[in-house]
Amino acid sequence: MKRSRAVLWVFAVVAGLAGGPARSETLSIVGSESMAALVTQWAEAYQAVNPSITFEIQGTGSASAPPALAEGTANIGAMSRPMSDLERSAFRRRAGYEPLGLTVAEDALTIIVNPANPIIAVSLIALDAIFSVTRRCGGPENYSAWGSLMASGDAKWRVALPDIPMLRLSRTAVSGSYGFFKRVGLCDGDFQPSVVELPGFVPIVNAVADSPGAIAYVGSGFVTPLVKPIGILIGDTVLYPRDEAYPLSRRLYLYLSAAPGQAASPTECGFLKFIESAQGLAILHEAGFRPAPPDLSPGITDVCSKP
Amino acid sequence: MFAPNRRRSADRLLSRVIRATSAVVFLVLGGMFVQMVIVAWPLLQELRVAENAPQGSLHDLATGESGPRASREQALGEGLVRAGPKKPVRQTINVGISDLTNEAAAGFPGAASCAKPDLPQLTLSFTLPGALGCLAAFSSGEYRILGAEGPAEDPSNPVGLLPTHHDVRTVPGGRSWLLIGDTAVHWVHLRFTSEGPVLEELKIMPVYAGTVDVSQVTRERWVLITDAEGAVWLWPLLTGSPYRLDLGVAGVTSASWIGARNLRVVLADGHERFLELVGWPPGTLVTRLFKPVQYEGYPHPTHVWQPSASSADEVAKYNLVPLLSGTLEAALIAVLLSLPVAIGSAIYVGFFLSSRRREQIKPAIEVIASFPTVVLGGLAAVWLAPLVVNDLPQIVGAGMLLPLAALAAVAVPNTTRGAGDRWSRPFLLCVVLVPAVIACIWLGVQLGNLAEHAWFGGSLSDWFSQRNIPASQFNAVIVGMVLGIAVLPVIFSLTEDAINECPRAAALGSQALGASKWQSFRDVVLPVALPAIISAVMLGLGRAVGETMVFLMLSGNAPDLNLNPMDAVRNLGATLAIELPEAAVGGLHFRILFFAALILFAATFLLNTVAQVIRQRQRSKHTDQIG
Repeated sequence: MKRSRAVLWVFAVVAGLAGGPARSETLSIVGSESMAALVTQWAEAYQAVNPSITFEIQGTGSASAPPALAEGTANIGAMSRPMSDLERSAFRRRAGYEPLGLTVAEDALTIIVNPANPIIAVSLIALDAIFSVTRRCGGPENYSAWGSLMASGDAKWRVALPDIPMLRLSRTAVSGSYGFFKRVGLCDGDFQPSVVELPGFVPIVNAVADSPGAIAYVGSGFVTPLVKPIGILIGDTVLYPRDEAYPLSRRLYLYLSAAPGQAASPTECGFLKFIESAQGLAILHEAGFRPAPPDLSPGITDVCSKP
Repeated sequence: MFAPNRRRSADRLLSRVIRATSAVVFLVLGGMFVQMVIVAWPLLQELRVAENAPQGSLHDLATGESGPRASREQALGEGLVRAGPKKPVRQTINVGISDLTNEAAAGFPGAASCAKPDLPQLTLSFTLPGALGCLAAFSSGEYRILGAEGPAEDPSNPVGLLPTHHDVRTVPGGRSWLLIGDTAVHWVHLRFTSEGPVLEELKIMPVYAGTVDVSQVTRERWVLITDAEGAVWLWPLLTGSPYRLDLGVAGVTSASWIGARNLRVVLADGHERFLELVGWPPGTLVTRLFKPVQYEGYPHPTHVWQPSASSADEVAKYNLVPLLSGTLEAALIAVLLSLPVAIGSAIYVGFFLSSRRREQIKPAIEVIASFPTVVLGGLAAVWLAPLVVNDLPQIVGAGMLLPLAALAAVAVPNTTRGAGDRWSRPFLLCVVLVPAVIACIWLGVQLGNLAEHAWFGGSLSDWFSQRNIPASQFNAVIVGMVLGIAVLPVIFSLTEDAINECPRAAALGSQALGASKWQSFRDVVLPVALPAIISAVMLGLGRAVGETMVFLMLSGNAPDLNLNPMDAVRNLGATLAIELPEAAVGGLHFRILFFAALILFAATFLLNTVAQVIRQRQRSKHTDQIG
């Protein structure tokens, strides 16, 4: 009897403690892994100013954002590619209105190879021929070894490329970078079935650093000194992610569920205004992204200033 | 001590609780199974034609007001459910119809636009990338490349020949077309080869009665062909042969799409009917999921798993064969690697070891089962994977020589502890075995080095790359190694139980008659325990098939259909983990993933059930014998 009473007391105390502190507002941000670090830094800085708001950030991939927004399990959806027509119509039918998309940053996909690889740049056609099986961008044949790339004229190298087989790495299909690369890099074609898919950019960078024949695309913020970024060859010029005409530039978006004519919720608006502020822009620059062009609409002020 | 009455009622209560719990578990499992079947069931619907009257004009259909839930709408668009007999169809027109006209194919954005010279009989033009110009096809069947300013090639020297045709339909995506002849419809696609761009014919549908009307091609690659006899044929370009639709009307002059699955049929007397297609023509799902399919842009029919297309005009490719083969390949490697160790140790622990030692060692081995495979996978990714890809012969050599370390145990006398003994046998064993193990590993590595120099010219990875055999740190062998550690306690535990439960009387009797311990095991115990050993292996295989996290981290997730164990594989469980979050609830991708999950569930359930039945039969046979 004494033991069971003691057990009851322990339960009561634990249950009381589990009540926890006063309820706080929660912002749930779901979506892109490319933006996860940026969103987390924004969230931490915002929490320093507004401690009453808690954030739940999940960065599995851009494709997880539209269903989460539509079902209401997320407040903000971070996507590294625009929402597709099918996702948009699915959201529209579920919520009754269009999702609201804000462009928050500009980023680029960098092509990385192992540091021992003497290649300097590849053309878009060669990139397509390396990664895809359908070669919709117009390449005449697929490359399975680095040595065969030299005969094509679509690459630039420092010394002769070693004749080792290529190991292609990509993100999984839930990633917005996957969708973007498929659309722009592969001209809507298909990846080769031998392309290795890893669930995040960090494992990809580690794998490229370990394998001499590896090639992969990563978000610019994930490039470390362990891997070597290469440029894109257009004509005779080599373009890098910092150049304006770089073909794999993309925009990063935040999507909200806000009915037309109504402003977004105050919690969301507070966070969005913080993103737009000088502190938010500084965090953006530190993370390696460029700010979005200011003339894009709708802007954050449009969303939040409605009565 | 409980009084006898209290103990009986406590026993009864306990047995009732156990029975209730097992009933609940059974119900939950059954419920899961039923729910998966319900989700996957619409995939098996056979094609039905139903009447449907659309509400409003075509324009209203295009705006798509908010209506039923997204899952139902998407399911409607994909033909998974019917709109209902009296409810009007509310579908957005942009799910299904190709916007492309016959002449202006998509080409390459940014390339110099194809100058459309006023050539007679021009049916198809496609802007090629760069400065290559324009691919133009004519109704006489020849196609050639025109320069941006005009014919670049010698007009009398065409690039290739196609069947003659009088009309063309563009398939969504702009890379393949239907050429409509008088008695046949041809599906051709554009492919860039080392000889330049070619238009290849993929499939042909003979229309013996003569073609009268061909509809646009939907995103699902379905096309309606009306022939001169007034029959309407549905041709699912990717997955099946033409299927004659039983529309219940005769004398059709034209059939056209007004939605992904809705058609409008015009009869000879001028009336029009609106119909809806639900389900799939027979055999298309089996073809799509299990047989090689010819997709646009591919050189030949292939098994492809790539369900995330970057635009709605591209086809999502669902084929389960690469996933099933990858799952089985790594699971078989795991079972093969762990089989000798598990069964060998089970024989020793179950038959040869004294019961005191057995009670100490058996739980220690079974604790391995509780080790999280995620941690094992992470360790292997960081440490073991680079080792496997660079030093495979050394690892194989060390692994093969390691059991020889056990021979060092003969140096320790098999005497019981008597007065005056200072060292216990286990301590002496450790002192002897540890250097023996180190020596064997070193010897194995040297042997591996020798083998590498002798057979592979110094480096196995160079040997692989010279022959263009892909060998990366993402392969089925490393997955098999890690899974082998997870599968080992499963096989060990059940095999050891089976061997230990065999009737001791018969074994002791044979030893009394002069058989050695090994002989009595081999001839008396092993035949009896063999079915249980087989069932243990099946359970181990079931465990390996259902694993997810190890595959996600180590296997490379590449749905490549080849049997090279050093190549990356993709597992059903890992595919579910990756793709279920992004599949729209109720859509085709969602249902196919559940169907794959159902296959996994059924396979492991079957394996486990058969294994348990074998064990039960063996047990009951023994209790009968002993009496």
